Amino acid sequence: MNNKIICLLSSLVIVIFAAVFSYAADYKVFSAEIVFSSVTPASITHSAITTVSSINGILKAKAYVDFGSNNLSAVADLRYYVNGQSLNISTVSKGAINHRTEFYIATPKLNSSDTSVSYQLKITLQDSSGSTSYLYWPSSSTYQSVNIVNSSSNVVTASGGGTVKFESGNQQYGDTEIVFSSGTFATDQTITITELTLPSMSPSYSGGVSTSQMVALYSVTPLGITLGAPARATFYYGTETSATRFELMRSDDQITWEKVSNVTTDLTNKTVSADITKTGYYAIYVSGSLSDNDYRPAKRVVVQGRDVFKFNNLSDGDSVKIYNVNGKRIREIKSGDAEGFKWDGRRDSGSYAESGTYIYQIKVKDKGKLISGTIAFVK
Amino acid sequence: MNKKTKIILSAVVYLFMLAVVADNSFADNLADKYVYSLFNENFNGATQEAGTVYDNIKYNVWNGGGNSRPAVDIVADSTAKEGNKYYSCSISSTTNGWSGFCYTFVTGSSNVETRRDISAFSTLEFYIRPKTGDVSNIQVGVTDSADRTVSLSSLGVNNSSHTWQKCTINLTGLPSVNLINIKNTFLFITSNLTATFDLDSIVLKRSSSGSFDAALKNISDSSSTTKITWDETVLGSSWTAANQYIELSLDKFESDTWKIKIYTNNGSASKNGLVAVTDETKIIPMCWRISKNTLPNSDGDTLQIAQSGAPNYALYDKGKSATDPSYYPWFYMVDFAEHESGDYDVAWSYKGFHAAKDENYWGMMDMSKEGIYPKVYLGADFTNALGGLTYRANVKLELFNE
Repeated sequence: MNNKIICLLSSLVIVIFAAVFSYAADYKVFSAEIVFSSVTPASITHSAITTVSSINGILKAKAYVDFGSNNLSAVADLRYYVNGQSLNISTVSKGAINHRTEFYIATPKLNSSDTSVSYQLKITLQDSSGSTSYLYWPSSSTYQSVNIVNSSSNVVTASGGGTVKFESGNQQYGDTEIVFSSGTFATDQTITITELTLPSMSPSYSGGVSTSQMVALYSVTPLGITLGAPARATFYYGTETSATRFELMRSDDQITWEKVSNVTTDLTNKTVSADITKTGYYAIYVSGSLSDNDYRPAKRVVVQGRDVFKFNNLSDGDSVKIYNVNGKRIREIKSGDAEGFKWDGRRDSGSYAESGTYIYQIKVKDKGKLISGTIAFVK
Repeated sequence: MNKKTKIILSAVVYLFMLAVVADNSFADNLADKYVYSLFNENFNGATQEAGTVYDNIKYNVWNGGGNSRPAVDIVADSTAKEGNKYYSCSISSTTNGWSGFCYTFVTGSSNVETRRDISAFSTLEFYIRPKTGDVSNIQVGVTDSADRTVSLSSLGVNNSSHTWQKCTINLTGLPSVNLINIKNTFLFITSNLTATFDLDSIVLKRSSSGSFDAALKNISDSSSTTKITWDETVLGSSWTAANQYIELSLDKFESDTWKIKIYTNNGSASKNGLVAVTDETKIIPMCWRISKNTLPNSDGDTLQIAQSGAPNYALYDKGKSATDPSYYPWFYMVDFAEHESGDYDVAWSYKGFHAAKDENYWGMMDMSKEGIYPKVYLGADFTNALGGLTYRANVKLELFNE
């Protein structure tokens, strides 16, 4: 076969190949490009602080900083003036941060005589080459004014209700607020929440609470109004306690106190919440220590469908385990379960246990021990 | 009369004839198109529905003698040859007579019948799917001063095969036809028969090849530009749409199973995104979306890209999160080197826009004489992008005839 024939055959093969297989007729190509400089600060996110509690007295700013690079070092400055005097700076530093970081920057505790604060956030970002960039909030030349107050008021309307909020100025934790529903008052009513200085000696309380552990005191005025509907109240108890159990007390005169029931504690936000039915004074106490019996169920015998075993004074991190007499665990109840710390006789599988005696084991996280006992379940 | 006068008079007569005989501006909005759609959802033209006039073309159904008028309904389902719509035709004859349907050129607000010059077009093409009865003797063609037709059997239609069969009429080959003086541009005549059949993808084609084009435009003002970009502030952000879109334009119809694919052309299956110039192991994933609309729009379509969780991690329009996100998907970009065999990298095909994940929901709604210019939007995930680097990609849109 000569070269000419080989060439012709090769051409034929190519033509057949092109005909058999799909082919691209037309195309367009576009180039995409993005250039990132070594430090690319994008934004600082912060909600303005407008009031600081004169009693808790700490301004603590929360800020998110978003930027582009990895492994930057960052310095966050809270630059502030108290009573318009000299500039103060609180600083938080972080290293090897990526894309987004969260800062909390706080002033020291203010003096009770202080009347105003103004502040500015300055974030300095630096990469490994030493390239530096700055972010400011509100801006490099302006400061946010803050009032030092001990109260907050709002008009609660008869038709729509309303919320009264007293902001502590500490953005790491929650605030004090009361949410009133419509119909709480017959006519529009101005409600004021005032944070009060703690008495030098906490008032006595006949319910068994320690008399020396009041951590926060508020008045909700006008005093003595019975609410037309329960209002959801949340009280911030401050930062100066490591306690984990609290009780909420109410009084008309700061002399006679009564315990508010169904109080929930939010240790993250350092608040306690409850439905309240009357204005007055509200105090948050560190709960006194509880005995083992305070956790045990009041009923020792429960009949299926008629009642349940209720384990008391338990909270996040606590648990209850139910064992049969052979030592086999049939049920575990933890915080977050829909029914709370109650046992209705069901196994973990959902079926009811047999009639008989069962052993409960309560684990209280803060006590660091187990509380056991027996109960009888009847089908 | 001298020679010069004769020439002038001849020219005047010729111009007069042109003016009287035919309007050369065929299909008012689409005079320069290489593919003119009479019933095709992917090409510009006059997609016909009964009782309507599109682009000065009127859909007529008629009968004579004892025949009843044909029932010609538009059906939408996945068996369509093209897009998702086709004509379902039913002809019933009780005695001798004629019936049929045609597309007639009209003009003015009263839709007066007129004549058009279609001599720039070389073929009239369509698909037929015989179902019942015998369609062999149905006559198809055009009308000038008289009907100029050929039979389906002469076009090679196999009546016993109930599948889509392509018919191509060589317009200049129609007997005695005058293509500059056409009244009916698609004529279907039946006589003394009862049959059912489907029709789809009826188009006129010029002999020249047509074109496929893609133009890069800024979202902000639809102005033309040359590069796909994002703002530098996206660094560290999750999926974010680019500042541009690519507008597609197709006036080329060489294969009935054409596809327009989109992919990066970075030379490696793993480089399916923006690649760092100085460190090609650093990749920013990309995604794309196609829409008939300019986004965002008042219908709630946004350019915000949301991502579902495990196991699919599907991307979809965040503004449509309250509805089924499958209908508003973004697709992960693949690189050409991956040789994607499915439809994952197909933006537009004979089935329509790839505007939904389900194969049965390719978006092809509201097609008409208006221009069909789908828009491709691009996105990228900058969560793990690194400052101090430049990232680049080649994005290729390619028309395949398969």
